[in-house]
Amino acid sequence: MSLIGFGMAFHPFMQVKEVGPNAYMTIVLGFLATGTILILIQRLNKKFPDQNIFGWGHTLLGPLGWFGSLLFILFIFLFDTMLVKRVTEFTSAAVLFRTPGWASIAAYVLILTYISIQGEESTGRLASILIGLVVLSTLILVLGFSHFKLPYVHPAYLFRDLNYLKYGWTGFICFIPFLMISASLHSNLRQQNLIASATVPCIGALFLILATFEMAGVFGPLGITRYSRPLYSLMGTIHLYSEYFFQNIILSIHIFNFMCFTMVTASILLRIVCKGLLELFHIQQNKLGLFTIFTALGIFILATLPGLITTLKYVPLVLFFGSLYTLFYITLLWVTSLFHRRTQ
Amino acid sequence: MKHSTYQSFLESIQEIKTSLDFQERTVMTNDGHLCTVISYKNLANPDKLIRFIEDNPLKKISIETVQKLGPIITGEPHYILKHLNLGGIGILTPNLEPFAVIMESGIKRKPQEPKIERSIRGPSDALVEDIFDNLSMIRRKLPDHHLRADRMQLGRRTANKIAICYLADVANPDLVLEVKERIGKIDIDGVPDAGIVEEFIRDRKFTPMPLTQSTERPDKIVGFLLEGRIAIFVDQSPRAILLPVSLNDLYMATDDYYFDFWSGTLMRVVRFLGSLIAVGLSGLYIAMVGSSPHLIPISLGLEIAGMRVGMPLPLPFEVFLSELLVELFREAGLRLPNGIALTVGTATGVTLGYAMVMSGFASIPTIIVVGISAIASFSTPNFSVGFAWRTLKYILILAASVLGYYGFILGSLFIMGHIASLTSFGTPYTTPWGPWVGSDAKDSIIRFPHWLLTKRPKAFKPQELKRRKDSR
Repeated sequence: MSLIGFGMAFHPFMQVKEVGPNAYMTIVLGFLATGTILILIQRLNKKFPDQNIFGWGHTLLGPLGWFGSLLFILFIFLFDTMLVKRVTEFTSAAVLFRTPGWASIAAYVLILTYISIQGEESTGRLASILIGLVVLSTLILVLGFSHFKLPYVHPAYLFRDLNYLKYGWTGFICFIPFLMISASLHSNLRQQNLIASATVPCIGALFLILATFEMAGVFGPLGITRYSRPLYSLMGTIHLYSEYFFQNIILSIHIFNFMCFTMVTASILLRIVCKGLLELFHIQQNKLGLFTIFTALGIFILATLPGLITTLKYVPLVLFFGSLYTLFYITLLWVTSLFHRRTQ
Repeated sequence: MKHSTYQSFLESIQEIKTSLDFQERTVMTNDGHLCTVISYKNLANPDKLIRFIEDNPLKKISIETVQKLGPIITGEPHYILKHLNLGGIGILTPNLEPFAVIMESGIKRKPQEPKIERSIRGPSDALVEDIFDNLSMIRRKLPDHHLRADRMQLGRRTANKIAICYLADVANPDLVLEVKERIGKIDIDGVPDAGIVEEFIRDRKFTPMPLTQSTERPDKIVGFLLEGRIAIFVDQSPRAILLPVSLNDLYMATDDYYFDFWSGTLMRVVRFLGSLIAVGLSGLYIAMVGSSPHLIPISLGLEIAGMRVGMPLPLPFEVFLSELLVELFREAGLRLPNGIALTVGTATGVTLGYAMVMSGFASIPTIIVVGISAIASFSTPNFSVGFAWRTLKYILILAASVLGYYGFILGSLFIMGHIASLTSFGTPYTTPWGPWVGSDAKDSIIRFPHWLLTKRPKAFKPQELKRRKDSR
């Protein structure tokens, strides 16, 4: 769910225009990179079963690990803020035309804080309840294939185009929250085997591949020109001209699903930030609720301030460096763990 | 020594002698002593005891001889007097310590048809006020030697008997201990109904969702016991408490199991849809029509807008007013005498609804939406969950009034987040959907045939998971 939520918010469906019809390949590349990192996380989990990424940092890198973890938390916090900003920006444009931005951000952050305070187990249950919405979203996506034009994705055309290699990292962005969650929480990776764990990103990746491929097939090599936001472009694939009845219903369902997916992702990321900070600064767990409120306040302030997170110039930079850092940090921990001997 | 106790007892009964239902009889025993027999009318019948004393002139009155008639209560005067309220007869003779013998003979209600949880098929008996009658009903339906009914007591003044019923070889022992611990912690002067116990033992105190289930159907109780769950009986309450429960359980009616699985599934789907409508329709209506009309189909939006032309009240206020009226009708319908409730309710509802539309206080779509929402809230077999959805509906109405469709989604997420955080005696409230438990989901929105329901629900951690010998 985090994958689809974050993917729908940040994956450049619109990049069909820049990357070409092979934009879906960025997701495939991202998935392969994620699979590799997932293996590393599982290895680290096996070696240090009672710890998470913050503990591994401390055990393997010492004081350097402390700073590494702090930077990791900072990136999660920024990712979370960007997600909140993107969702509220979208809903302001689609639903609340005249409501000031801060009001929609405040409402979103309020619910986000409440869900996050309930704990990761509750959020997990919420995600499980909402899983039916993924099926609904997929059905809507499949409906869009009725306007698919095969010449746009002709194999001869696809094989020649290797432009996606240049933009390979953009697909990886969608998987970053999933990796952050897997590494930070005492995840299921320890109990389950890798194949079972990989099923989740597999389903998410399939959804995103399907969406991006559909964009290329419906809008052609010029990409999406009408829609400025990723979710709009996803909805724009459904052209039921004669059936306005369905078009509006689909739009409403899309907004509902998108908000549900992102809320689950944002709340779990917020939880990780707070738990991580408590762990790093050795603060008692009973302060978690208070910490969550303050962190959420931070998200609200950062998302409301114009020019910081809103500037399109900085968002790709944060996404790029955040993704790169996650990749680098987990790999570094794994490499260090190879030379580490466990002491009693 | 005994004489002084007798005297002090006589003094202590002076206070209760003024009671209208107090009765005192005196008989002469064979050793020449006067024996005073005290009791309350209609709670205990002393005739049998007096006959016993008179018919055995050679025997002396003693605890050993009288205990053939019933359980003996001895101790401090206040303790004996307390048992007079529980069907005891006090026996006072100068040569004996005062004591009481329990010989209950009160008015009892016979089991009748369930009032709320009615069914088309299946047994038509319901629990009554007497705890022993209730337990006997359960034992008759579940004659298993592992069936336990552990005794507890609650209420400093009412001293209600509590029975914690479970199958010793199926129910999780930790769960049984937890239930006993929570009941043991209750400190209250009286327990007039099981509902009070329910509120004390729930996992979260301030949630509107029912975290235990209250039932009047013995067959439902047996079904729960067979799944490794626990039933709590409270004396003088015609309902038992079932626990732990999930939200899924609150949508299961006994009829679902007595009809074939196609019918059972259809009924459940209708109930779940009913709840969604009950909680969400009014809020969604405000969100779509009042704030985001571009999200509803154009033809439908124009039709509704046409009907709302000239309405003096804003849409949220119009919906709120209509909802309030429905609540009033519902409440008044409960209080009105049976004979006139239907007539008055229907006549007033139709007249007022028509007058509201004609005067322009409410539009036709609003009346339709509120009406559907009210009917849908009664589609659940469990009354408490219907109440809960009705309460939560106002959160969505408020959220949609303030932030339109965006607020409606956030309100829905708040409700879902809250429900996902709930547990019932440690069991996730949203099981089997969250966390997903595939085997338990066989008895969920879709009811699988009985021959496929081979295992007990995993979520409640029973000792024995298999229901049949051939279960895998």
